[in-house]
Parts: sequence; structure tokens; C-alpha cells
Amino acid sequence: MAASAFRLDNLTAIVDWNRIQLTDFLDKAMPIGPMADKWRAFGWEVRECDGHEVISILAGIEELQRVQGRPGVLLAHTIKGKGVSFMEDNPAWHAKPPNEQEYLQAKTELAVRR
Amino acid sequence: MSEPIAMREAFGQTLVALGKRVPDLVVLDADLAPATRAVLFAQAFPERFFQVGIAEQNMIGIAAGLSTLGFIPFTSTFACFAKRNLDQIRMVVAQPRNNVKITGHYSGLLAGKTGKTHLAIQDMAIMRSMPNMTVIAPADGIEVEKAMEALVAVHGPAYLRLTRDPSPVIFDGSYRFEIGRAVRLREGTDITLISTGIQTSRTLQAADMLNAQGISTLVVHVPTLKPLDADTIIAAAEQTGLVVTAEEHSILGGLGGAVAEVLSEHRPTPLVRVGVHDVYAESAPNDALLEKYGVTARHVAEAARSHLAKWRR
Repeated sequence: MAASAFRLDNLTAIVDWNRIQLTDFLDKAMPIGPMADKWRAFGWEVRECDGHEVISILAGIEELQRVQGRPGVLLAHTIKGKGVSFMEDNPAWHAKPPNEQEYLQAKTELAVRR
Repeated sequence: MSEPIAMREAFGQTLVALGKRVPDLVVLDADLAPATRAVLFAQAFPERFFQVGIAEQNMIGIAAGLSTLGFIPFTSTFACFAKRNLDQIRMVVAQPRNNVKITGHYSGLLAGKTGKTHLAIQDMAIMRSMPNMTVIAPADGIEVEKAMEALVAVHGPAYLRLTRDPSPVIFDGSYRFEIGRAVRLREGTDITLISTGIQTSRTLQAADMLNAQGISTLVVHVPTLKPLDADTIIAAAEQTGLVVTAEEHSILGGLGGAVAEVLSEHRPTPLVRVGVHDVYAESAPNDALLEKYGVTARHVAEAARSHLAKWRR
């Protein structure tokens, strides 16, 4: 509201849009409605990107920074826990630390991916 | 004595005076500038005044951001709204020690005509509970001016509690305000009255009533609730052996609570707390509210007399 009213076109926000909160997926716990429309209603320029692809993120930021007269928001679609098979897209891992065995398995999976 | 000046007028005028001297001073308002008199600053320095709308949480966020760039932001709204954004105050002002000066106008009971939803009688307790937060409740317009000058001169978060109505003049231009220092306004040997903010004018009237009845009354004004001037409070308690606190605020967690904490640890002294007794006040004219919730000069004097009667017989 204030960012668009003050015409802050040097401001870019990034939403880590992983759709998960502590108790469940947002859509099950409390649906928040259309994300992009909400930002637009507050006067923001909206772009979306793949939050796991650096090139996609950079392209979105560059586009938004060319927009004059209003702030920009990049909605970065992400999968929480990506790269760790047993954590991916699972609300149970929103705030839970892994135990020793889980930690080692997660490290192995992430190393293999790289 | 000069004419009574409302704290909000002193606030607006001091903002303008400071604005001329301090180029980094900025003011943020949440749709109450005419009432808080922040409008005077808006007219003098429109480029340094930010109208954020009825969005107090955002006001604190913006102020905190500006402070990280070296600006000195004053946020301005009613005391009842100056705490609807407590999470932001805690997270981006108090915890990181950002240089934001939060002002809460129309505090206490002297806002009866705005209705009971607007009466702020827990604000000092709430703000005092936060680490790093300085809490100041001036007694009159002069003290508002001096406190604001002092706040601008030091880096750090602060809450300044102001009241709406013209306040009786207590101090003159020669008064030296110091953050964290209480002032003895009357000397006495029988009982100590300790008060803060606008209540101090009524406490002085109570002291006059008591002195007229032969009760020698010491009065300590505590403009800074935090950091508290424990030494002055302990010395006054030692001198008379009996203490009454008075505040236009809840007796829980404000001045009465703070004095009780200090005295019970360092100098146990019989204490009575005059103030609002853990209830929400009502919509009514100011005088009726002061009467109903027991914070008039007469109430303070009566509390002192019964305190004396209980412990000195």
C-alpha cells in the first residue's frame, strides 16, 4: 500500500511461495486466495518465476527493475525441502530438525544432486 | 507561570524547532496529524513528513527502515493505536535497537470524548516490558519539549507518552531534563508521593492539601519510567518511610509496579498505588473518568492520609 503510494520503483520483493505453513498446506489450513491478484490490488507489478532456477529468478528481477513508477514483486514458486526426498513438499518438516541419521541421508541426497 | 500549553501543541512546535536544527529528523503519521499536531511539521517540512494511512504496523516498519539509513523518525499516533503494532515494535525497533521515537498521544483517561476504545491505560506497562526501550511520560508542555530534545540527542528506541488536554504548567524554561532522572518537586518528611506524566499536576495539588493539614509531603516526579531512577526513589522512601504512587494508568506494570519492584528489592517500604485498578474505563467526560477511576488530587490525598493512619498509629 505505502510502497506503491510512494512510487517505490527501486523496491523489489521476492515471495518464497512454497504453499506450506506449520500445521498444513495453506490451502488446507486457511486458503489465502489469489496471491498475484492481491499484490496487483496493492499497486505492485507482479512476475512469477521458478524459485529453484537462478536464471529464472534473475530474469524476473531484471524485468521488474525496468518497471517505472511502482514496486515489483517476484513470486518464486518453490518446493519446500527440495532435494531431500523425505522432506520435499511435506508440512511435517516446516519446523522439525532432522535426527543424526536423517541429517546424513539429506546431506548424501543433496551431494548426489550436485 | 506561563499559560498552560497542551502537550500535543508542544509536540508539534518542538518537532518544527528540532526539524530546523536536525536535518535527518522525519515524522510519520497514521492519519491523526491534525489531532497530534504533527501537522505543524508536515506544513513546515512536507518532504520529511510521511502520511502512511491507518497502517500502524507499516508505519513502524517504514520508520525502522528509515532509521537504519541514519534518519531520526518520530512516529505519531494515539497511544491506543501506538501499541497495536507491538510485534513490529519488538522485532524491528526494540530488539535491533533502532533509533525510532514512538509517540503515543491522547493517553490515559483524558480522551473520554473519543470513547472507551481510545483510552490507553496499559501503554507504559507494555512498553516498559521491552528491553532497550526508553519510556518517558512528561508532566507538561515544557517537559515535552525538553524530553524530545533529549531523545533526539541519543540513539535508541523510545516511547513518549503524551496527553491531549492543556496541562497545568509545572516547569519553566530553566528546567533541565535528563533521561532517567527523577525530580523532587516538594520536600517533606511524613510521606512521599511519586507520580508521572500529567498525573504529577494532580499529585502536587494533593501535596498542597496534605501540607495544609500539617502533613509534610515529599513529591517525586518520575518522567522516565525506564530507565528508572531507583536511587532517587529509594532515597525518598528512606526519608519518609511511606510511599504513595499515582498515575493515570493501570496500577499494574506502570509507575506503581516499577516503584514496587525497586522498593521491595532494595528498601521495603509500605506502598499504596493510586491509578486505574485493572479495569477498562468507559466513555465519559474527562473529569467524570478521573473521579470514577480514582485519580483526582483528592483521591491521592485520601490515599496518603489512610496510608499514614494505617502505619503510624
